[in-house]
Amino acid sequence: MPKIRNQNVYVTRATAARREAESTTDDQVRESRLDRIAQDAVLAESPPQGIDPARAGLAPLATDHDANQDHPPPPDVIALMLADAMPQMLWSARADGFPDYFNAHWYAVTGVPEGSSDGSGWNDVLHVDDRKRAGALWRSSVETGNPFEIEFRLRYQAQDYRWTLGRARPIRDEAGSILRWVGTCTDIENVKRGTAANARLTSELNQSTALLHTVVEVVPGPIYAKDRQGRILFANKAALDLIGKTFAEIEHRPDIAIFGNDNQAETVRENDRRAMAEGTTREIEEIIDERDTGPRLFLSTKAPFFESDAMVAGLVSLSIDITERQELAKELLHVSKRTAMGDMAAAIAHEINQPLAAISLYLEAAGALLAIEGEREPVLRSLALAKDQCHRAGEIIKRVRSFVSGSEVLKCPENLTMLVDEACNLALIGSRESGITTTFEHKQRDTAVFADRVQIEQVIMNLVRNAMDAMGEMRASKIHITTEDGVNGMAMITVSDTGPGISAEVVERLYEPFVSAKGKRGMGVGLSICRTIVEDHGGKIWAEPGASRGTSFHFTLPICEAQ
Amino acid sequence: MTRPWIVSVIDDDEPVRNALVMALQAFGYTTATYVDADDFLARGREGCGVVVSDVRMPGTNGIELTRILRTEDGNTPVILLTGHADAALLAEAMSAGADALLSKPVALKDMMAEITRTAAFYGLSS
Repeated sequence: MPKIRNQNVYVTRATAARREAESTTDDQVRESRLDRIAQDAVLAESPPQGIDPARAGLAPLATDHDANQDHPPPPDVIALMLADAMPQMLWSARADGFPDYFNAHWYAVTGVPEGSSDGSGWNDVLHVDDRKRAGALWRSSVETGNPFEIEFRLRYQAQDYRWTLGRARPIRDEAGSILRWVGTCTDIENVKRGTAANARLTSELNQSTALLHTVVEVVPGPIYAKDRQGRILFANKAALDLIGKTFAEIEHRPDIAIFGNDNQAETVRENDRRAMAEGTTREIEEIIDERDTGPRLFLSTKAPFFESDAMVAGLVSLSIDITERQELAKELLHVSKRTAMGDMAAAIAHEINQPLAAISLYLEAAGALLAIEGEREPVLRSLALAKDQCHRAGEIIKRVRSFVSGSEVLKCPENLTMLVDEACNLALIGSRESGITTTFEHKQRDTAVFADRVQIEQVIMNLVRNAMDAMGEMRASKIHITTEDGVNGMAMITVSDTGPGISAEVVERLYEPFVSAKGKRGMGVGLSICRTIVEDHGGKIWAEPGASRGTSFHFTLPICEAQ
Repeated sequence: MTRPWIVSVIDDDEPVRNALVMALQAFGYTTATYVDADDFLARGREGCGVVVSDVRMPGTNGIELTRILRTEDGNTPVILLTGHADAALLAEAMSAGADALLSKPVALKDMMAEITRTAAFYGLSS
């Protein structure tokens, strides 16, 4: 084995490695390879001027003398140890581009035999699709002296390929001639994957943004977003059309500067402020002047959005024009009334016919009694009974009249018991003849509710008539009507029947217009109107299965506290 | 004028029932009253004379009552009263076996004529 004994001979770190290998290992393959490298790498009797040997990958060769005197290991050995200890793939090549050194980490990572990567051997551990490109780029760098940098797939332990960044820089002497190349290989698989994931996320985000943008723009109702100070962050086309401005004109401007200071605008602003102050989504009706058509009724959803620290950052408002819907609801109210009247006409005719029949008979009896007996008392009694029946007929007519007239909404305190009883007087017409037994349970008798009498009577009538219809020709049919003071200052009215009940599917959609539990017999507007009326009173209406059978309809009305 | 048979008045509407009774009594009829058909079926079958019944009632209605009486016994005169007579109801009443269907309000004169005629038809002596 050749020994290099010249003092001040400079060798690459590989040579130092050889020396270390000579003293520390019996790995013959490694030794011979290191010898070869050492021979190739002898550069000069003295280091090139201007080059820091250590930085250039060169270190002064330790002398036997130094080594024999128990000095610390020479710097070149340290450098080599460092190179092998680095958790980074390091390599070096001759000036002509012939790679002649790969550190321990390289071999550990690639799993190839030591020395097998030298020369063009390194190309074998590259992905077959990357070899040509890497070879060409390396040759180009060697020819031009330009730094080498490439991303390629490196085979790890003969299994996976991982993306790797290969880089090399030339080490030059003072004259600029390339002495050697030193290079690194860095695993960038995770970076690559992250980049791909980022690209995918960015693409998805772009798609979502585009989708959201489309949705927001095609929504016919105005949508806007503002920050906590009321500065406009966003407005869709419908919102811009509504105020007749471009987004550039309103972006980041305070709402007051855009919408002015009239009552309407102030109301909208106040609604926004309240939603932000409460930090909860609110749904509210707002009247907004449209440029062409005048005031419109909107149902607005005010949804605050939050900063990371749960502070309200601003608000998104989405409004739906419900002007037509409201008008339709009013129209439906009339339709419903007409339908209810149609349904009840026969029953009312029958009801009025009864006293008329009695009157007629009493009068005839009175005449007969006058003729036959000539006594006053039975005659007077007959006439008095006839008069009672006149009153009975008159009462029926009065109730019908109050139902069909008075479409103005007029809410005032009403005694709930009386309200329910009177509505039922009319609603229950014909029920007895149909074999229906009706019971009442007023848990409190003096509860006053804030209600429009005619409208609430219509709700009760609707529920009672529905109950009657539901039971049809069934035997032992019963309607039970209760009133009671409930929670949160609301009174609850319940109409229960013993009919066949309503299917869950219909229950869910019961309050939509034109959905009916009566099959082809019902128009399905009744409950829709009921809900409109009840909600307009601040109450709720719902249905649930009866205790044993049938259906119970409940609705609530605000209790009017005694002054 | 007293007759050996009575008129059984069935009507769930109390004022109407009372008026019928008062008028018939004023003209010399003896009456029995029942609040509905089931009441009559429970306690009025024997010696009921001429039955004058409302059609629409809770429980057994007038048409059903007529059918029951016709099925069990063909010799009971039945006169039905209704507040809403139409061709369909008339056909139903006739097919059930009613002797007459009178529309309310009914003229007492007409009703008495029908009662008399029907009683004679069934051989009830006057």
